[in-house]
Amino acid sequence: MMRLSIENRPLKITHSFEYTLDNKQVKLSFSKNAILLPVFDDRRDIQIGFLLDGPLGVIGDLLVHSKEGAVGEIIEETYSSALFLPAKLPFITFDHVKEIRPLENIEIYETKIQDFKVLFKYDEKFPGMKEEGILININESKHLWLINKNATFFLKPSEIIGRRGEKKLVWLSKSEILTVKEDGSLKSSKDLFSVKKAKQYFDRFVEVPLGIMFSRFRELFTSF
Amino acid sequence: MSKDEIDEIKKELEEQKKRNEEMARLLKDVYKKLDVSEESKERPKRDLSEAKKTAEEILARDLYDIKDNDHKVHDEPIRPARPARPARPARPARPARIAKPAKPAEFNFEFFRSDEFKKKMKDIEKKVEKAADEGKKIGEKISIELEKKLGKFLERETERIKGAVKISKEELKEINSEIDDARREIDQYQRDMDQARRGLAQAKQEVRHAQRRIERARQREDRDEKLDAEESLRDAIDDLNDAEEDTREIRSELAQARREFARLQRRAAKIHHAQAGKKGPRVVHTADVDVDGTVTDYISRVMDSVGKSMETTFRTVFPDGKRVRASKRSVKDDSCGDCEDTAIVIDTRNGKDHVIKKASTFYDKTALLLSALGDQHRIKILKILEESPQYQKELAEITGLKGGSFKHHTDILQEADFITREAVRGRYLITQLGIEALKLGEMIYLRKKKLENEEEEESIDIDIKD
Repeated sequence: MMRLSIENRPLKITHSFEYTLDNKQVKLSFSKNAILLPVFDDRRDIQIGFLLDGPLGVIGDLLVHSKEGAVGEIIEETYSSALFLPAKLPFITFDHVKEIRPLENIEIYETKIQDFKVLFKYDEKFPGMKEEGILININESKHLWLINKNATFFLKPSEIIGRRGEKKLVWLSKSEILTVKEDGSLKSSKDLFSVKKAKQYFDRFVEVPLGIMFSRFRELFTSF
Repeated sequence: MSKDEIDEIKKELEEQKKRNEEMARLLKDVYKKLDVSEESKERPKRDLSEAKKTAEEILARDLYDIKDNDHKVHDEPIRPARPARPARPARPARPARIAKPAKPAEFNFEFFRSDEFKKKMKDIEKKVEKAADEGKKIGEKISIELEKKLGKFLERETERIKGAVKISKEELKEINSEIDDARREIDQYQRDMDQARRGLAQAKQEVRHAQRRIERARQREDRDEKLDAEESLRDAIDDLNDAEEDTREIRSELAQARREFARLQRRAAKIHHAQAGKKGPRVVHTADVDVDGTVTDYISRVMDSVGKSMETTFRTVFPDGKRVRASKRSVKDDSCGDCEDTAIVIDTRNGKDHVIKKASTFYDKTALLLSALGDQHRIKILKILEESPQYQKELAEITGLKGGSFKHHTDILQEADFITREAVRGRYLITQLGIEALKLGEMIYLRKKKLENEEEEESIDIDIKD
């Protein structure tokens, strides 16, 4: 388990901007005056990401075209704070941010960051741990966005939607599993076994290291 | 050397003897505790030789000290011997005490050099060796006894096992015959099961056949045929129920027979292992895979549910006028007396007013949805998007629409939920509802075309006749 801490070297977003990620599936909206604080992994003593305090808009195109029409959802969410991984984020450049004086009320953020530690374990295979992917973790709503060059996963306690490329999609809800294959065929299952399987995924939402969960999603994509 | 001193030495020797005896006793204990292996037998020997060595070293050192003292003594003036004292009455035996190191001044070193001392020392050594030998002998004796006992135990156990095997051989014969019976029984049940399954399949086929007959009769509006088909359907359903009941019974019997068979097999394996002199097979609790056909049942149920859901999907896409059950009733438009087939099925559980409200919603919504199809450009857009998602520019180029006109059509389609638009890249995608609407349009078109063709053929026939 990772122990997180923050350092009082804040960055401030100078103007509102939108950033579309490389996979063209997710768009992030940042607001002016939002604060970014560097987050450190205490054990390894390296910076692993940023804590954003300020409104963040995330729009994800988690829908694909199938033989039976568009399947999936367009997710539009606004969060008040979020944890970003890794430390090298393409949208945090000096075009958008500037360094400011250390904060006086840093204790608030120190307690805030402690709440994040239970949500994931360190795993090298996990996309957010490398520069290839980005992880956005929202503690209040327990939402999680996993974004890499080709795929996007949106996880929340009641459902999980994963999109890979232009054609593949997995949608797990409490009572249904829905998948779209590369050839555009749609497969939906509501039988007990599938529901149980889906439930297992949700049950492991917090406990399983995200790297393992991610690989399971990959397996799901290949198996359907 | 005085008599007292000699007495003291004697006592010391007695103490030494006692120590030797103690040592022998200890050795016995050691043999008892230790294993009777060769190594363990040699260990006391080693200890003894080491003890001997140590004793020799101590003696040599003492002698060396004595020599030194001797030199010192020679330096001192020699005292004249004292006159002998009168004999004292014998003292009561004193408790054993630890020998104090004798002071060099009180020793008479001639005694240590005398043959008597050497003889005594030899005696002590001999006694120690004797004690060691005795200890060794005792150890050997114990080991032999142990071996004997173990041998007897082994013999007894072997006899017991042989007896058990003799019994188990008879049991094994019985069990083998029972296994054969069970196998035959299972085969019989399996055959019955196959037959029952065939019966079930046949019954299902008959039901399907009857359903098709009813459908055909309904299409042809042949009332007698329909009634007849319905009767045969009822019979077929009865047959199906019977067949299902039979299958269920046979399946449970088969499962029971299989369980019995597995139990017998396990028992036989156990006896077989006992005969071979091995340990019995480890009991592993494994689930009997589909012994009672539950998995097969489950799979068939899942397949049924998949089939039903597919059927429902098809019915929504291609409605065949099927009525809805109990709590729902059909609402007819009064102005349309003969249009029974187009009756709308609406939920009436919330009262009559609700029906009217729902119905008005239905008219409004249906009109809105159908009006969304009421333009060739919009149908064209749907047809293009059915193939793949498109950007606005591509779509506009293909349809030949520009600016406001394009937006007008796409807005209508979006409002009817026939198409949707990506938030990031802005591509248009057709929805499931859009696909269904398109299929509906295609179906109407094809039906109409077919009717027109038939009419044309008729008119041609008439022309020819004329």
